[in-house]
Amino acid sequence: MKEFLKAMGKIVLAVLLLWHMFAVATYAFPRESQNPLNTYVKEKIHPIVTPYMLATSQWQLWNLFAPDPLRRVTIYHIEYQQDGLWKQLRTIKAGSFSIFRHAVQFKMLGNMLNEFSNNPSPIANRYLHLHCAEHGLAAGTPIRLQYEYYVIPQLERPAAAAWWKTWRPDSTIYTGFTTACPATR
Amino acid sequence: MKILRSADAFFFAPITARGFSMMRVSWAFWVGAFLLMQWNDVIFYYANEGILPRDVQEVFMRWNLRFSVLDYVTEPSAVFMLYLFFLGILFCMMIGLWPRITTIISVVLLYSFHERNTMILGGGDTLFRNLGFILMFAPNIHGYSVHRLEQQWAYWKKHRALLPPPTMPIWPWRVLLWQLLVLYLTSLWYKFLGTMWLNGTAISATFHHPVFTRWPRWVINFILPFTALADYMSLIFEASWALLLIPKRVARVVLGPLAKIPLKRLLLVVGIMFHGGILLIMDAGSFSLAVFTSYFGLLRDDDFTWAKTFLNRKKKEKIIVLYDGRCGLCTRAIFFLTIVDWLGRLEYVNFRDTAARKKIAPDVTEETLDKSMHIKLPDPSSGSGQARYLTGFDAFRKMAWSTPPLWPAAPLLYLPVVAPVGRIVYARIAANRVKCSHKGCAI
Repeated sequence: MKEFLKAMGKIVLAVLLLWHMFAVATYAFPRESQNPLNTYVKEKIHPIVTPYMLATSQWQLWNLFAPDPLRRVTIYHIEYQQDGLWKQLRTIKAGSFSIFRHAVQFKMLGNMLNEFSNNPSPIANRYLHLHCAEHGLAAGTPIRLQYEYYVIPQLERPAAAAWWKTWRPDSTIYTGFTTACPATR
Repeated sequence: MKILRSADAFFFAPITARGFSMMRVSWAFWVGAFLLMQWNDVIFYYANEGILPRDVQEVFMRWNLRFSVLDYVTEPSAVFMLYLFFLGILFCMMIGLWPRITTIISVVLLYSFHERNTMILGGGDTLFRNLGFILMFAPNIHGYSVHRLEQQWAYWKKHRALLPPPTMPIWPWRVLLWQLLVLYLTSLWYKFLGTMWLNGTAISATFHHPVFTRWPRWVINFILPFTALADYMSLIFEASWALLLIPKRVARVVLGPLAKIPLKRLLLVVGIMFHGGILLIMDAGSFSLAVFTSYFGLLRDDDFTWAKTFLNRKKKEKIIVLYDGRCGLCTRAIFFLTIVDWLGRLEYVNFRDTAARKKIAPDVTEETLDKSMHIKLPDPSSGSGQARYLTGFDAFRKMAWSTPPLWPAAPLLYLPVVAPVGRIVYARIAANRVKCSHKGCAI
């Protein structure tokens, strides 16, 4: 009996392991790919494996620096209005944070930037409101997030160092979000 | 029946649990280190007072099939207390205090912090979460732990030997390997969906991104000529992991003598260089360190044997440690050295055993040996041709270079203040050691 239960336990565990491995592999299939296999996985398999992957916090996509690496370089300007003029409150760019906070802060800002397409943008709104509180801005003070960006060129072949030395980024400034400071935090 | 036996061996054959125990230590250390870096931002990231209050969180993140303790702990002070508790639990997990329970709590808390704010997560965080899941269920991850040390000490007192190395069924290793295969191969797949990796321009563009690069422009320009090659090498490295899917029997037939190359070990060595390079040149968060952590879990007995042979290739003879077998403190010191002597470079001789002493150290009297621990170095042919001895603190310092867990401390023992202080402390301990027993010591 003991041997039987042990064997059954092994079979159950093996099935669970195979299921886990199947779920991990299929969930990580690139979403962008349009080939028939991917389409099938997206339509038929993902609805089955996604609940398991989410419930166990195993969700994963390995698109680091891919399909192409991030080429947009963004500098964030937080400005508030005083006497009808916009004044600089804070500028965030590479080097603004210590080495320990750098990657995480820019990850968050990058996600906030991607979220700008949502209108209204609750995270940018919240971010600016926190700056109001931090800098003691009066309620109703207009505050905005501007982002200045340039794009690293997408070259068809590797360029020599000499080419990169002469390359100058061409920046564009875009107002991402404007709000007013709240009465309370 | 043969199929069942093969399936049983595929999932349940015993392997060493040392790799997974190392992975547990590394996981706890690096998760703790990166968590510690968020000290000033804990409230900002995780509390309702921060960037994601409940109403914003509901808009930004999924709200089904998730669990986070931080959904119930929302007040800033409570969140910070939970953060401190998490750090404490990670420390316990790292040193192996109740390793099973602290591992489970740590993984659940990591999930809780990640699920509370997904905006700040990168590839390294994801991998730590995946590794944590495997660690939570893997059997016998208590190697390199206080728990194991207690077991070893109890066994040592009885048998003057260490317990046999712990083993575990192979299935956690297979799941881990599968996780890495999925990581590398889907990462490769994603890269093929773009154009820059195939054009050889991806790394040069990334190096010019000021958020990612760690170095000034002139350094980047210096290494720029190698970046196209690095692009293609990255693709080849990631693709090479697929070779691990080929069964050994098939590989022997198809590849012939090439099948004898220890592919996994080769990939791990190249992987250390590859991810080490990324870590050195780019700020990509915790990803490289998460990968290194996973590599520990992939180590098997043959890898440990290979590493030991490789590191001992120039060390043919052992260092002989002459100790006082009547003194409890000395015996404990020998137990400690046995524990850290991963490379098997030390041999212990009780100098109270007259025959053994005369054989090993005929030129040193028992009275001299009684004053401090002596070690006899393995290379008497150098210098005067006489056997060379070191004593006390200097002996310990020498042994630190032969015992991997002490390697980080070894250079520090040469600092100007450390050596004289170390000699004084050692002399006091040695003078009072007769008062010591296995249970305690009055210095």
